[in-house]
Amino acid sequence: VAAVVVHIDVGRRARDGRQEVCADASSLTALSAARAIASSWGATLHAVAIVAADAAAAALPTLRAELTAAGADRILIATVPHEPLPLWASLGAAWQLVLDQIRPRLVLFGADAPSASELASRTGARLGARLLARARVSTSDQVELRDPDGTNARASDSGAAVATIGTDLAAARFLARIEELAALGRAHTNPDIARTSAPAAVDVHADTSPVPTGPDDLTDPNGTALTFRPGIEVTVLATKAPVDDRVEVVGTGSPEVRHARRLVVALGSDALADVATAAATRKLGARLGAVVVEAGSVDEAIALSPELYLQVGAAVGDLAGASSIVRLGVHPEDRRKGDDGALPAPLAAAVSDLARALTEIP
Amino acid sequence: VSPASRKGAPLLRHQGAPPPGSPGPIALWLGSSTPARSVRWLDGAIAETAALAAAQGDGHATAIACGDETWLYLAADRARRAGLACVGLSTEQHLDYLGWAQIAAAVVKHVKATLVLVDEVSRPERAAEVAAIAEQLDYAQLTHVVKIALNDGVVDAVRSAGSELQLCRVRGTAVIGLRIAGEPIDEYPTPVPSSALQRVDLATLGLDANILAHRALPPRSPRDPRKSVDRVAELVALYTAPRRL
Repeated sequence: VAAVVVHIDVGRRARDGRQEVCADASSLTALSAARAIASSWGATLHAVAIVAADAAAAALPTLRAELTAAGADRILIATVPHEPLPLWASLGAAWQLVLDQIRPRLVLFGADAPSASELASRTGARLGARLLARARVSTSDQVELRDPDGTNARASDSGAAVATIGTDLAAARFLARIEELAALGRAHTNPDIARTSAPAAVDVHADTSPVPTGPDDLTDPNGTALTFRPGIEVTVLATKAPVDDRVEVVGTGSPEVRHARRLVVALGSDALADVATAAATRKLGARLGAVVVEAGSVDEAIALSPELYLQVGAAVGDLAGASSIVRLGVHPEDRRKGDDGALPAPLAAAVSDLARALTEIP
Repeated sequence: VSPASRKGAPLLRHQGAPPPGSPGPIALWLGSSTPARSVRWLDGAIAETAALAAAQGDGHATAIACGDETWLYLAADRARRAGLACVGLSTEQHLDYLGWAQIAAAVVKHVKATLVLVDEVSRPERAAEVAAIAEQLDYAQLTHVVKIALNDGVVDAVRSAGSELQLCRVRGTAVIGLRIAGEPIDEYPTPVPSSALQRVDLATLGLDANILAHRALPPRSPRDPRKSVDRVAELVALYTAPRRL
């Protein structure tokens, strides 16, 4: 039976007044999508996180609860002797050890997980795999992954595939409830697991406490009810994987508008003239976590290169670097070749229709 | 980007004479087809490559393009304007990212480049080729670089990493994906066949067209834009920031 692997980026968040390790939200989205795929394909679902060796023991209980809640069959925590950074140079050697051990048929990353842009395509190249970008689970005919270009990965395909997973509505619902399910996991975590420290070799721990059920209205993207399953293997793989010292991170800074990579919502001068539409667009942009650029507030020659440029009214900036373009309030004579989506005028109706269709995004 | 140790110092400006440890010959992979919407990003990548080569002292860098003749003429013309040599491989094949990476890596070896830059933006599928070329050559990789310069023989690169920028120092062999735009341009002269284009073929590179054909992609008809609210919402949702409540 094939294996499905999901790379889990690990971050930090404040909880009860202290910082704790947690799984990245985009990675959890990928894991919930992988659950649907693995169930349909009859594959084992591995969730793999790479953490610093000295942080592994503290990270284990939370990661275990969250990854189990998101549907993992097995959890592998690979430890490295350095602070992992979201770069191939930092994670690549340990990640390769994991791939060699599991030999996956399908590898998934959260499309917005910090390390996805560095790891996904390199993983694909290493496995000789097909690559899907910002895919989602499609259940129309059979359970498969499909990206916006129409490329798909099915159980019947030969060879491996690597995909980054975008946020669909089912995933948004799932993420909104992950805390409830993870809390169940924490309550039923075997304390022995929490005391696990990074060992010198591979350790396998299985917790066999009784199975509590999750909220019965919570389902995975395939419609299957999710339950917390504590009888899950947690493997700690202690590696001495080195850093590729050809690349060194020496500082960090804040990005500017022109560096926005995921979603830009452009509010044109005509949209700004309608106060209600402008307000609705700003609200929609905030809900989608987009960078909102408004006519007059940025240099008109600014070169933008997001994955998706959502144009509300007239264009703002130079959008030639955008991978996908969706225009709202388009007149029939203004339809353009190369657009990925267009909603017709009037503009106010197009914005409110789209906002209504996306109300499930919290 | 202002790392504490270098606060106030002018970052990412080419500085000083090239020391012995400079990156060495530079290649720029321009890809396998014309830019999707504008030559601005193509020009930006070419200009940065020319600036790195000039900072290195010898000013030598090679642009590499692959694909149909029209694209090769355009690539050679834009490279020539910036003073770069251009190597072109003419082919009618349409390959996936691994297929193009095999060709790019073979040309990189042919021109003995140790630093490879890639125009990531002109076509969306190009981003995956950065890692694939690095894998073929066993070079380090760095994606999404928005600023680059040579300082004391080391490449300083600012990388866009979602909610932050990372200032990275790159030493030795590497493949770097660039997201740097050139100046806005409304129209450019129609490119014509140029004797400056140095042609190579698959046999010269030690590649077999029949083997590469295994990486061929089936031809696709252009897709109509999504027109219903539900289908547009489905697409937009994919780009929503995932959020835990």
